[in-house]
Amino acid sequence: MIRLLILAAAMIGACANAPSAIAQDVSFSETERAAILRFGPWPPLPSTDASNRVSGDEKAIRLGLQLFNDPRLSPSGRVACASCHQPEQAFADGRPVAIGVAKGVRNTPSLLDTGFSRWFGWAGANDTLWGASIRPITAAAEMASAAEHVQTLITTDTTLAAAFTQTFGASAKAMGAEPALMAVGKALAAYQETLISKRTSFDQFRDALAAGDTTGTSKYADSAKRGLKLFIGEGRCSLCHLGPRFTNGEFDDIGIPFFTGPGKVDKGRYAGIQYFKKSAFTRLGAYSDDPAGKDSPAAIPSHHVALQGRAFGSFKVPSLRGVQETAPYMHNGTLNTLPEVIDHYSKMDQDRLHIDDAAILRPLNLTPQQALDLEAFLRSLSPTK
Amino acid sequence: MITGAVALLSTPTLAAANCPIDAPMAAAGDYQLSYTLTPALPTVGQPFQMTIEACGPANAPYTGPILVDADMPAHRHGMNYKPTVISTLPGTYVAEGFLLHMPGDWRFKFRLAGADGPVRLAHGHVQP
Repeated sequence: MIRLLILAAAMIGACANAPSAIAQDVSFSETERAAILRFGPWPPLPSTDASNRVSGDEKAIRLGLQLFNDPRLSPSGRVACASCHQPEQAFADGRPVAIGVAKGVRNTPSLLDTGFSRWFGWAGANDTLWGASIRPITAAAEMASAAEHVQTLITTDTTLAAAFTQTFGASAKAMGAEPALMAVGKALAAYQETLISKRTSFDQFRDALAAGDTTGTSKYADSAKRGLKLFIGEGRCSLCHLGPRFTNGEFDDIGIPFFTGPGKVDKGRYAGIQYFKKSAFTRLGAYSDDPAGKDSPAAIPSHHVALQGRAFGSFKVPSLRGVQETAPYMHNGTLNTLPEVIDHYSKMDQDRLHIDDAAILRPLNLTPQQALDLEAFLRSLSPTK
Repeated sequence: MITGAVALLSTPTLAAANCPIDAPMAAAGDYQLSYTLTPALPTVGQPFQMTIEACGPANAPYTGPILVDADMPAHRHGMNYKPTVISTLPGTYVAEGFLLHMPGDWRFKFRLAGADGPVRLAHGHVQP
C-alpha cells in the first residue's frame, strides 16, 4: 500500500458548504498504483509510420510545416491547415465548430500527439495520418480543394516544387495529381508526427510514484490526487480514458446530441467507417508504403473494423493530454469549460444516450468538492505555463 | 506511428487438436474447446490473436466452421471489430482481429456448427 498523507487545504470556517479542514489520508492501493503507472511514461519512445515512407524524414517535416501554414492549398487562398489547427491554441482553434471555407459541424481537435492515434478525427474516418491530412484539403466545408489544384500549386511554386522533388524524388507534375495529393498528405503527416505534448505535473507525479519517490509524489497537488483517485475509481473515467494518452483510441456515445440542424444528423463513427471503407488513402490501399502491405500487423484493425449500429452517434474518445488548452469540448464544441464537462458526467441523463443496449455511463452525482478535485486532476494533464 | 505497437503479433505454433481436451475452457454436450492468446496477456486497445483447439463428437477434432466474438456482459456491448477465423489443422483455428477496448470482464463467445444446430460456448476473460 502506497500511502500519501494529504492535508486538505480548505480553511477552517471559510464557508459553511466547504469541506472542513481535515487531515485527509489519501492512499493508493496496489491496484490503483498499477492503474496510475499505466498512464505513462511520457513521452513515448519515438517511432515512425511504416505506411508513410517519409515519416520521420527531416526534409518531409520541413515541407510539411511549410504546407501546413500555406493557405494556397485552398483555392480560396484563405484557409490553411493552421487556420483551424493554430499552434498557439494547442493546434485547435478555440471555436465551438471549425470554420473553413464554410462553417463546419464538428469541433477542431488538437493535433498534439495525433501521430500516436490509430483512427483520426472525431469519426475515425482515416486509419493513417496522411489520409487524415488529405481529407480536410478536399472537404467542401474545410479547404474545398482538389488534387489538381494541389498539384498545380506544388508545380508552379518553385520553392515548394524543389522541396517536394527533394523529398519524394519526383516532381508533382511527373507524379500525377492524386499521387501528388497523397504525397502532400504524407509530408503534412511527417510534420504533425512531431507535435508531441510536453510533460506535465501529472507525469512528474506518475514517475515519482513509479520510483517510490515520496518527496516527488508530495509535490503533486492534493486536490489533483483526490481527482485522480476518483478518475480511476468510482468515476470510472479510465474505462475509456486510459494509457499514456488517456484514450483507448476508440469511439463512444456519451449523450451529446448529434443533430446538426433541422433534419440533419451527424452519424459520427458510423459515417466515419463508411468513409474509411471507400477511401483510397488507407493502410489497405495502394498508397500505403508499408512493405507488408495489407498484411501489416498495423493494418489488422483496419481489416477488422465492423460497421455496427452502435457506431451511430459515437465519437472519438479524445486524449486528455493538454485538455486545459482545448476548450470548448465535445465533438460539437457545446461544452465551454472543464467544469461544464464534469457537470455533464455528474448529471448525465441516461435517456439521452443513443446506444440503447450499452450500460457504461451513469450520473456520477459528484459533490462540489469532488468536481473541483476532478477538475484539478484534469488541469494537471496540461503543461505548467 | 502505431506500427510498433502491434509488431509483436506473430503466428503461434500450430498443431492438430489433441482430443479430448483434458481441461477444456468451455464445453457443451459433445463439444469442447480451449484457446490461447497471442500475446498471452493482450494490452487493452491493441489487437491480438487467438488460437483455438476444438473437439466434437466421439472425441474427434472439430472441423466445422467457428464464429468468434467477445463482449462485456455487464456493459452490454461487444467489440468494435469483427475477428476472422481460419482453420489451420484439424480441430485447430486461428482467429485474428480481436481488440478489447476497455479493461474489465470480457467474455469470448464461440459458435460451432453442431449436428443438431449451433453450439454456443463461452469463456470469461479479465482484461487488466
